[in-house]
Amino acid sequence: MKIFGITVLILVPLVVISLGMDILLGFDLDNSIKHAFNPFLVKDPAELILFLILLVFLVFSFFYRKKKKGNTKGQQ
Amino acid sequence: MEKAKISGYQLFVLIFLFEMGSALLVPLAGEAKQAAWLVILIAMIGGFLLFFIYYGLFQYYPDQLLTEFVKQILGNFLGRIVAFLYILYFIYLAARVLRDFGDTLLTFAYPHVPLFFANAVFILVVVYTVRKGIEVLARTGELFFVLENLLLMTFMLLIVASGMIHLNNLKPIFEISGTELMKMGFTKSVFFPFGEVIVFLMIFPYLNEPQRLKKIGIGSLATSGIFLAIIMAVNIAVLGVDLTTRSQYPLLTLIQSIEVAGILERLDVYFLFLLMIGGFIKISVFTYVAVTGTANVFNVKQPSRLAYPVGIVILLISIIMASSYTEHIHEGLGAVPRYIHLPFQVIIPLLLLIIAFFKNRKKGRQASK
Repeated sequence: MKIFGITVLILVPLVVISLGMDILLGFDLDNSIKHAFNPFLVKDPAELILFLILLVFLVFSFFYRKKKKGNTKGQQ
Repeated sequence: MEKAKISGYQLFVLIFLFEMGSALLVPLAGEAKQAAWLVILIAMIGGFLLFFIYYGLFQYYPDQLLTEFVKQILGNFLGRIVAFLYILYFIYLAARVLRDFGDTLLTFAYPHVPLFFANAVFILVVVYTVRKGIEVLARTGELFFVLENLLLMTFMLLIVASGMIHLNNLKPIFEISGTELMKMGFTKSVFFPFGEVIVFLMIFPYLNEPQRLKKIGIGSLATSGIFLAIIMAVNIAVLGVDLTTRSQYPLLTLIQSIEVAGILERLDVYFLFLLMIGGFIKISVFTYVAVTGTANVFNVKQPSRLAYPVGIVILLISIIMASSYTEHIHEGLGAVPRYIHLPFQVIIPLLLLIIAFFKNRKKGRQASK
């Protein structure tokens, strides 16, 4: 769960920075949000599938590793 | 910090390929027209000055990463915040470079492939490398260094053999005044690509011969700067100022125009190889540094666990950061050097160096008493 927290903690400020960059270029907030998330709304089926697979891997990796840590505890 | 060591040669190779990475892609210092190569050389000297700041910091804390000694210099709370900001900076730069390469691939080779797809494939390879650690990355760099130099040498030979170099295109060199050139060199061009060498503050502690670091750093910066200057000069000598500054990828235009004996032509794949080698090393170094930094700041025992999540964050940010390539480049030339590169490459390290100097002088006095 720690890794999940770190991922969110990194992702959120970076999204804010890229929105801030758009605002510095002269767009208003609405437009910059639209710009930022448009690529995720308009997707080819192949792109969408890859995106979902990557997300599933991401979620899976948090839990899988946790279990592995529990198993190897005794060996260490 | 993982238990690994890299040799001086490997560090040299990493810095060289890192510098060549995306700087080959864009018309570097294009606004200086015929004197672009001179501006690159001036920026290289600026790069040396920045390197000395980083080297000074490294000398105070030779076996600590940037994220570690920041905590020592600024205290635990403020230090953690600055270290976290540096992690964000590295991830943001990784995302920028990834976007650069993704967009280049699409415009040049794969027009029907979605950007997300190209970027995802690239970042997956990078994540795999980063999971393996710095030693593997350095050895990969060693292999690629030979290939990159072979490509550059044959490329130069082909250009000379095809007789396309017109030195008159490089004149008049001093159309722009000396002070203007200096200003250009020490503002935009010094941040990209030379100032980005600050990421190596996270890699210097792995060096097995720290006493040679100064020579290695200056040597690799000088080599890459001279190479970049030569390539920009050849670009202008062959294509002329107008085409070079208008072209999105001048090196690609240059390589496409090679024609030797009616057989050797359309050598676009050269460009792709040069591009991919540099880009791969650059993104890998940024990602590796971000992963070790995050593990360090948040006390994660196994940094490799973070490689995939950080990779996905880089991928998402590379898509979110701009809606088009034009916007991306516009941001990269306008806001990024001023609001992002300047504080992270110059202001914060300089402040850190000054504080470290006073702190260590105090310590030195106490020790001598």
